[in-house]
Amino acid sequence: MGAQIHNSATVLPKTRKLQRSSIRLSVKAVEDCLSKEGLDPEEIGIFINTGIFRDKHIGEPAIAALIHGDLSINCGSPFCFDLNNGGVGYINALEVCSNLIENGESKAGIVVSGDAIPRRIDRWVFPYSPAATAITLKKGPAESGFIEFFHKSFPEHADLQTSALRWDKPDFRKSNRHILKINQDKEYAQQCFESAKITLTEFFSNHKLSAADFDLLLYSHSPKQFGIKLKTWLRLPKDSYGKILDGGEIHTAGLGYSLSRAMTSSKFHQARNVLFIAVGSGIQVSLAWYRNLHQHE
Amino acid sequence: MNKSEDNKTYARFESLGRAIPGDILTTDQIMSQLKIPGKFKFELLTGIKSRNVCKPDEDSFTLAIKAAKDCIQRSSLKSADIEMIISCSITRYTEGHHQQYEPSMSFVIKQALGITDARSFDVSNACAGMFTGVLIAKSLIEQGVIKNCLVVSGEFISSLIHNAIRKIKTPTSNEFASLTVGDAGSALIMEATKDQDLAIQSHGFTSQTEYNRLCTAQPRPKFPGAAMKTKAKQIHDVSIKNSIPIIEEAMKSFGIKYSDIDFLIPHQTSRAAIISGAKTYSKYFKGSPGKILMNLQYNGNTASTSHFICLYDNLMKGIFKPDDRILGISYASGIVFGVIVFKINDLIKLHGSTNP
Repeated sequence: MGAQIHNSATVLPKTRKLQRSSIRLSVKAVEDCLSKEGLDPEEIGIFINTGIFRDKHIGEPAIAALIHGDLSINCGSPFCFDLNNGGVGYINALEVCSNLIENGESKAGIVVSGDAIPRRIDRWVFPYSPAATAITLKKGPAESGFIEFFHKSFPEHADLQTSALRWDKPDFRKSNRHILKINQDKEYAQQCFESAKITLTEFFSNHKLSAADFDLLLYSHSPKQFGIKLKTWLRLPKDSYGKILDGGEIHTAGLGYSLSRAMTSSKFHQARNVLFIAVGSGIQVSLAWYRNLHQHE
Repeated sequence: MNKSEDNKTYARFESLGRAIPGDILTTDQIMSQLKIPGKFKFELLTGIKSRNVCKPDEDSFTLAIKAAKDCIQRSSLKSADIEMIISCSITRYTEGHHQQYEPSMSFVIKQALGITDARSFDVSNACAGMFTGVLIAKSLIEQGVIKNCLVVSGEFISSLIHNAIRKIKTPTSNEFASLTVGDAGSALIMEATKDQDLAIQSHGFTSQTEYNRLCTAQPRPKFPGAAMKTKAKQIHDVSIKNSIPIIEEAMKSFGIKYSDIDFLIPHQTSRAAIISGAKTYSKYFKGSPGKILMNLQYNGNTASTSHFICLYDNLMKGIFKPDDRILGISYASGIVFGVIVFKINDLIKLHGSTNP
């Protein structure tokens, strides 16, 4: 089995300064996450960022290196890099981080994911709620941690959600500019749900399981209607996912936000089997099956 | 075959591919456009005579696809056998200068190659991108999560040159390093093996983020592509000085000496920097590798692809023997360090070498 979750923290900006810096937001999320005892920050050897919309659309160095460099906590010299894959990048990074820990590359790791308005001019087109989330993983007992990761893609729906920094002519100018374009088709949420249904059915069938075998299900916030559709299909209780914020959905930090809420409310610790469900552009669906080791076990 | 005693699975390089774009830009052409006083011996300092650059219909995506196809064509695997694709480029330009965010670059590469069942994601780690992809793929293969992986990068980075020409007014400009770059695509297939002799070894992957702003790049307002600002002297000094203990530890963990290395492939930055770094290493380790490989003359610095473009070029020249041990050292903005060691082995056959 893979690495254990040590802690998770999510930051939602209260000031405009934080709304416009994924780096500052992510630094705060990492610092909050590391404030919990039980993990020596110097043991962190892997530091992955999965956020997409970053300050000024910086290309290099990796945003993970910029976040780590701005921490007020001494956190050693981990290997920092960015891993991007839309809404499923967070689960991809959990798998990579967990695997690197299992393979002995490090004792512990951090996955941080933050999106904010990259530039002032992008505020008109950025549809998401700025947010950042961080999760710490560490080597744990063999009976607990991430049991399996499962991925499926549905490329026939690749055009339903796209984003790019395009070199195009804006309507109000005569010459080209770097323009952030984020397009989400009205069919996207429905197709994400249909794709998730197929993926979950196959996953449950592979393991002869059903949703009822999981004590806690956490899922993507984006697209906005996805969680509602999934919740209805799986007959989940109302509070089984994080609140959608006014003004927009949380993008790559959404799943981490749900985890942070579940950890704060102790629901995560009470659950033995946890299922993470992420959907993202492609359409891609990624699942992560996590098992908590309870103290009495 | 040297089978591991504990039946351990290792990762090896199975195939290597390359893409060279269609246009050439010489250093003389660049220098003639600069508005700086006096003669500046850029070619002598960097060792770069020319670099390949994209034609109007080429970009990061087309280079990645071309390199991946070359790699798959040389491989014993078919496209449908590939289980994972990791795209590692800094630039993710499609249709010219549109920087792709979603779907990820790896996803559109996967679609174009028709590899529907493979998993995919992008990594971005400046010029250490492909080394980062190699480390991740190696770990997933060793743990049995996947059997093979296509690590690919298409770098359409030459916009840095054109944007730097507009800004450089003095020989001390922090955009001078931008003039060294060139475009290229590189791809490699890694796969599982039980033969320890074929194994890729890695060590010392670390980021010293107190130096994270010595080299930064972001879109240049009002012009296509990006601008890069580099404190070249500082980043070189820190990279060489701080990589010594990392290489020393790596050699110790691999059970070899620095002088046991047959070929050293450093990140291809500039001839003066590589030679000065090699001298520092030789002095410290009291020995030298057989040869230090450079392919700057006609390629320039091709960012995340530079080590593997250099390896490919030298495979084509037929300079290697199967038992040759290669040391790749990565230093990239961040500052990121990483060391990999591997033997040439079967790669030699894929490129038609007759070297015994």
